[in-house]
Amino acid sequence: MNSLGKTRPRLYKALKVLWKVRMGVFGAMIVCSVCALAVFAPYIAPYNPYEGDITKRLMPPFWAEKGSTAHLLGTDHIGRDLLSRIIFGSRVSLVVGSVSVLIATTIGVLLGLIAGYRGKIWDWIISSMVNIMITFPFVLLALAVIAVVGPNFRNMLLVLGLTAWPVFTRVVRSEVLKWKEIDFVQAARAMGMKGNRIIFSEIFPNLISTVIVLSSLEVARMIIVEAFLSFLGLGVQPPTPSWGGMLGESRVYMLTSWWLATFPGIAIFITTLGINLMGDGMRDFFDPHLRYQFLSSSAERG
Amino acid sequence: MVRIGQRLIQVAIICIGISFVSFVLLHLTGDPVTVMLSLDAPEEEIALFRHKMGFDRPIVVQFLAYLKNAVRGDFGNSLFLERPAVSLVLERFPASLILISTGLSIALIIAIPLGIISAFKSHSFIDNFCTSFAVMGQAIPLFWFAIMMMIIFCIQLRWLPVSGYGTWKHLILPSFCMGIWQSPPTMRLIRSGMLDILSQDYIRTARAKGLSEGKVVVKHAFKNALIPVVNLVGLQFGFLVGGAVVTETVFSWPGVASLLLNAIRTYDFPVVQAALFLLALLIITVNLIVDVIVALIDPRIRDRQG
Repeated sequence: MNSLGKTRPRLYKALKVLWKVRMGVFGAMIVCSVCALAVFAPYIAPYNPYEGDITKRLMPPFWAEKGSTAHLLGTDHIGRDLLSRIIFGSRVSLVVGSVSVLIATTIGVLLGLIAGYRGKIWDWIISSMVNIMITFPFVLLALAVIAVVGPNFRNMLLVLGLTAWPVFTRVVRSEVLKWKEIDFVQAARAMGMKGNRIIFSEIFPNLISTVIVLSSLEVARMIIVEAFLSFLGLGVQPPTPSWGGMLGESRVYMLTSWWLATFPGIAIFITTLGINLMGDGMRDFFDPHLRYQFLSSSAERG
Repeated sequence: MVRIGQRLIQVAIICIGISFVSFVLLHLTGDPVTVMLSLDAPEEEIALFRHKMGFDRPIVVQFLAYLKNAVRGDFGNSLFLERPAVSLVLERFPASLILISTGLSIALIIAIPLGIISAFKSHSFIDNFCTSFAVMGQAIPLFWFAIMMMIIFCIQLRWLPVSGYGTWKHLILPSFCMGIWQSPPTMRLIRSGMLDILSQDYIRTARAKGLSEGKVVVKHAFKNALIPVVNLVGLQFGFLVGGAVVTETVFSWPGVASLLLNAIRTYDFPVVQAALFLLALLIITVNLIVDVIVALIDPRIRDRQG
């Protein structure tokens, strides 16, 4: 970093960093828009997502032949407006994604902290559990559990949350092992600080950014898994609009009505893309090493 | 050899763990008797049936009996087809293996060259292009992608059959979907592995010796990059099995995953347990083989074992 960079105002620097992670900012914008859609769905959606007009069933999107601007993305097999259903469907995806990741993060981080810090038998037990869960395809596990406990919204949240924690445990554990040996943690221990306090006030704050980045990326994965479960009929039950459920219903009409399968999928794609971009951007932003590079390289060029 | 011995013990623990998890799960709430017999079946008949199937014993006893039989490859008969669950599952294995292996090959064929190129020309146009492609690819849900491919190639263009099994034409679309879906994460991992290798001293030495870039890539970098690639195959295999569940469902591919899904829906416990157990065993075996191969090609591990 040279003196030029230092003399620039802070705002300018902040903008430079934001520009470096512009794809992340773009992702965050997508995520915010989808959230806004979900929150204000009743005001934005042109029609009621539950009520259809059977006389207008299977109408194509407005640009196609026989399409009408009254239903921009067309209608489904019982004449419900596809656009309205997609807008309302964002609610399911976002709630399932965030709540299940919240559950998984809480469990995963706690177990990771214990395994990493306590070590010994705790580490062995927790690591074996993680190995068992990670070896096995997560989708299958979730499928089996949901089929047993019964497919509904609450069960799906719980199952996704309770089966997705090992990723967090693994990452947090290895981070704790690293931080445990660092001087200030050793010093805290030498001063006689208790184990739990060391974990939560000395080690954990250093892991927050890693955990936030990982959770945001997991939200995207959960949204896809939720969509798949609903697609199979094991997730959110009709008539509640969910993107996966809409895709599942569309299979019967695949031969004639391509739009039914296309648009809900695009909605999933855009949302997960936005979340992934945001997560990657946050990773770069939180990484002090990278941030320094950003600033120094921009200062050199500026 | 010690390492392999340790791994085998791990395998045993993981197998028992997975069968325990699947066993407990399936006994949580679902009482198969209520599903298998009609609702108005007389009490005595239900009790008799329950006793015949062993559902009236304590759950721990049931698990131990199950484990004892599972070790001998006996998971009991399918509740509906009156045939051993294991043979039902094994019948479906070839189809799944074909799908997974062609999918994996396609993923590697796409990912290895792209990963190497983007590592070599890092932060160039090609690298940015490949990386953005990978980011987009990772956001596409596989089952939707498969449906879209089906609509385009089977329904609109009519080039390929919609679903089924038997000829190479049936295999093209499912395996391509798996391959394309799997290639972005694979490419990213190969790229970062390759970048790691390129910063090593021996590469600098090779370049300093005046070797051509081509020789550096092929003789020095790629050989070493193979180790992480082989490792990666092991790591990704579990994901591929997950992907097979999705692909088999969409394309009605008669593999283990679609059998399992059906069994889950009909509460066919023996089949579910046999399928979960054998799939876990498959994933673990592949990982074990990968470990052995890595040990054979990596001189650092090979020499340590003497």
